[in-house]
Amino acid sequence: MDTTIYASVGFVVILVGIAAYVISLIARSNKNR
Amino acid sequence: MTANKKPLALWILDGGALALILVALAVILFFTPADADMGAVQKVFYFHVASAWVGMLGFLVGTAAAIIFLVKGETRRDALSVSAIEIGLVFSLIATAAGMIWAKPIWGTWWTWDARLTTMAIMVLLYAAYFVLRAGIEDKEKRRRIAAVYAIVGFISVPLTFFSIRVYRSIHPLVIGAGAGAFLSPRMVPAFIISLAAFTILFISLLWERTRLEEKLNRGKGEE
Repeated sequence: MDTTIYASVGFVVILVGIAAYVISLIARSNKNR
Repeated sequence: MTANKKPLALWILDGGALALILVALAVILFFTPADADMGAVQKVFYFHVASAWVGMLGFLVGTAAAIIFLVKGETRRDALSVSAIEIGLVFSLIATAAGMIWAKPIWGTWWTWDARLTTMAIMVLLYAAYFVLRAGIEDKEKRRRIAAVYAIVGFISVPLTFFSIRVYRSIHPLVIGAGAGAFLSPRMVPAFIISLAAFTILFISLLWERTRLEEKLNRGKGEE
């Protein structure tokens, strides 16, 4: 069974999740500058 | 203000975390063999476990800071506690999402009420409720004390989740400790170690950033 599509989605979810949190930190920090 | 200037060490830590994540990704994608049975999706495991580790580390640090806050009453310990728990919650959710994507082709389902998945869900809900609790108490001293006690009691869910696959019958793979060897071949170990190191550095960097933000928020509200 080719599971490449699941692997790709898995990595995207993890990396986008981390990026979203980092962006939320930057946004909250700028808002309270 | 010079007091709010971001320290050079934090810039270096941020850059180091990003660089290590990229190195880990390259090692996983280009230098680590795909699992013979599971195929490419097994590679998600490296970041899945690293995320779960950061999740539990966040709850551990958050609880330790809560204990110190209750003993010493220092506001910055509460800032550290709430920051660590927030990061722990974010990474626990990421680990859960990645695990579900792995489970679909391997178990044939996105979710099953297995011991590990169930205890993980309870842990995530418990810590999500921590933020609801904090938001619901107006008095700052009361909020900090009650949140600290809640964090300490809620921590019971962390070892329960970690040991659930060792204590109960579970279909979740065992990757750390006795009986874990079958899941990882020696050629997969470097990717696993680099991923854990990268996510640990990322945790330290995020925790520092988030704690600075919490202290800034407290100053803004006059709640130092």
